Amino acid sequence: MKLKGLMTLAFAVSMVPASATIARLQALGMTETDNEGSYYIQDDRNIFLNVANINDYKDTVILEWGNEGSDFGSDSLQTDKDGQAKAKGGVFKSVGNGVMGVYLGNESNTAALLRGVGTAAKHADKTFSGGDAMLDGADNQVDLFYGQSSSIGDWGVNVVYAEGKDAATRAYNIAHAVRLGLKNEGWQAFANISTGTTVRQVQDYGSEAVFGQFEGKLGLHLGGSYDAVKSDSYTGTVYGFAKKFDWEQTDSGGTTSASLGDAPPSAGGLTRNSRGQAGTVDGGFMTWALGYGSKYQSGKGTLFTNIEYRHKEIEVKFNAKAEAKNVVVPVTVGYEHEATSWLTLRGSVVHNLMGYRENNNYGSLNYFGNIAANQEFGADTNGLKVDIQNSTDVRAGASLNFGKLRLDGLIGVSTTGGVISQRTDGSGKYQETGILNGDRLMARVGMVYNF
Amino acid sequence: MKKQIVLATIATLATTSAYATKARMNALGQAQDRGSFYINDTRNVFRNAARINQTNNYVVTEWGQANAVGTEEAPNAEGGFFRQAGSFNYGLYLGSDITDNSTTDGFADDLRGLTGGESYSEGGFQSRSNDLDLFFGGDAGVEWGARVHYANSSTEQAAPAAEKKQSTLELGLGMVMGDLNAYVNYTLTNEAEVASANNDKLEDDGSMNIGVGYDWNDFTFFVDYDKSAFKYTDNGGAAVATSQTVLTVGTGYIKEISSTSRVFTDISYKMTSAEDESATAASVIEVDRSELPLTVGFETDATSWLTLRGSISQNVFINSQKVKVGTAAELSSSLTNTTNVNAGATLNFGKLMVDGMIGTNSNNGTAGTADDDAGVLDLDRLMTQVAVHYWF
Repeated sequence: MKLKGLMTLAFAVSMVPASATIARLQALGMTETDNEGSYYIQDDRNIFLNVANINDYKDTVILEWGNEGSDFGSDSLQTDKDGQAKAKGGVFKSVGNGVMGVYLGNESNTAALLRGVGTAAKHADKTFSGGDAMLDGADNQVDLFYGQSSSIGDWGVNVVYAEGKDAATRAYNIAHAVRLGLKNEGWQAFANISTGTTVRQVQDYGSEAVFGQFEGKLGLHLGGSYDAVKSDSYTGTVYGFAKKFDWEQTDSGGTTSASLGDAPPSAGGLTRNSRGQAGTVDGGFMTWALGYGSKYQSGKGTLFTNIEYRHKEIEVKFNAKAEAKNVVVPVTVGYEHEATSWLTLRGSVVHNLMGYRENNNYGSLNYFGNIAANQEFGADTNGLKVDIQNSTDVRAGASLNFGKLRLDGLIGVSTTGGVISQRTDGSGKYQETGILNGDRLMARVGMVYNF
Repeated sequence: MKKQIVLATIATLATTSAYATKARMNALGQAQDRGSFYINDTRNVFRNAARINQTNNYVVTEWGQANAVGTEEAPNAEGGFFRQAGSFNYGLYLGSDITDNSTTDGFADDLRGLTGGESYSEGGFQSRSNDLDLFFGGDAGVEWGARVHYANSSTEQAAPAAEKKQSTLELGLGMVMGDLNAYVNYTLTNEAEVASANNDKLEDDGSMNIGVGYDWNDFTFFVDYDKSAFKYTDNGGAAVATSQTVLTVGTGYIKEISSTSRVFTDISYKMTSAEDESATAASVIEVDRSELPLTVGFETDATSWLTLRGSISQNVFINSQKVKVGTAAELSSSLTNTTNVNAGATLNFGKLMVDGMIGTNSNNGTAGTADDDAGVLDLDRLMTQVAVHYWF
């Protein structure tokens, strides 16, 4: 009886999910813009992918170290980057048969980048010149969670809300969304719905006041997964998802002046002339993917592999339509190993088996919209298909385990960034790559405490 | 029975070991100056002097510089000891700058993050320094305590310039009666004379801190009123005043996981009003804030020698600021980027403990406050805002 009890306990302990943070999933190859989780690796970050996962992470405090994030044009619009992480975190507590939670500061990178794209062209140019006229990003976001187990599986719901205003710049922004999720023993499904976004701002240019607005329409992120192969040591998961978001952007100011010239190389070297368009134009993006991810467990280690087909495209319907498309087939091989009782090490390599980009008319986008497009889709190809080069990316991470408390982080990051094989000094030269520095123990640190 | 006593003693010691210092308060998202409304910590004696009856027999030193501004990134050198003597407790604390909050631009300007309007100080006043706090408390059925804060300094100048003087006298009184506690901290005098002119003067204008708290199961309900105010007289002219009041009403919850682990949660409505007065209508600045900060933190003994803690706080749902400058229309806005993650550690060496913030970069005091390198754990900067405390 005692032996049975011990075995049950050991099994229960081994079934405790590998609870961790953004750093863990990034070290294992996650490349999602919003770091919302993995479709085949179990992790507490997955609550932002499928909120039903909250049922696996009750009685947990999560802290993601960071600050205000990386300025995207101005400090009113910021993104969460590896070297300039955004502070966030929350608590999840079991209540009766369910789990309640609150998570703070989990603003979306996608939302920030789209607001950058949707900023009026003159506002963006004013920002470039040293002002701050970008549309404001979502700020002080609150995520409220509730989940429960039922006869058909675990379910969860998450309501997202962020609002801000600044009467001095006649700026206002509001965003709200809801996530719905369901999961069972071998499958899961979710629907994450952006129910509304409105961002607007007015700036004066001498006698001219320019109004800019970004109005989001219904946004959907639908997806699911199925464990097609499952044994004691191996799980193979088929998954798929589609994200779609459309918006209207209004610019009363029209194109930027033809005499602005190019930005200096240090600021991207982009031309600032004749960007934007007066009036309201539609924009939209679509991302979908189908993939297969596997997890093979052997002793204290786990091997992760993944292959997927991913298609993402975006367009803003100016007269000269700005559009970008990436099609990639990345393969990921990752590992995680319990090196000692207090140290877990992990790493991955990601590489595109096939990948091309097909972009056009970046010149129509405002200055910072152009930068966002370069960042997410690569440089303008004038409508031609161009292979994506140098896609190989190696990452590594570690967890320091102190019983119910864990510290996660990326390791091997020598400078300010979090990717060990893609550091540059801004001039395109790689520097300090492949180095394990003792003074920089971990980057993008997260703390998880189970109580 | 003996075993129970031993276990209880061990549990008490283990719990006590984490009670200390500004770094701990900051890591848990609390106020570093006067401590927490609901978390037991040695800093709380600066809010409620009667807390001296609950934490004593220790020496604490806060690392820093004597003339620092006393923030997380520029800590002030200070420290003291607290000791039990029969049925009484007493303490001596050196270098506290707890109410040394004079501002040149005025409280309202500081709140809105801009400058303008009047000046409320000037360079050249005798700085407040060599502060001394004396504590005394006892338990007569009701725990009581008193604190006297004293600072006095002067500098003679060649004639015709007059001698520069600075003096501060504050009184703190507190009581803890069962689940109820109450306190008052009042500035009796805090003034500086002579700067660039002999009749320059800077004097306190009724600064005080009053509050009450009530423990109910694992919850603590609290109300706190804090006023900072002073007047500035420039070369014998009419005095101009600046003031700030903060009213906090909230509740804190502690979930004890074990004797060495706990989770903290608090939420409070915080109403701040600041006014920079002026004889010129266009220079009067008023700022009002309404906030609802939510804080979640934890603290646990990671190993026998290491305690780790962390917290996140953010304004939720109520988060606004109204600014009125002179006769212009009032402008309202949201406060930006209120999300704040902090982390800290204590190195435990028996009765000696070393506290600090961790994950801090570029000399800042929070887990990645600097825009660059945010979220990084560097070993060459093991801890910041370090404090050492020894329990005897």
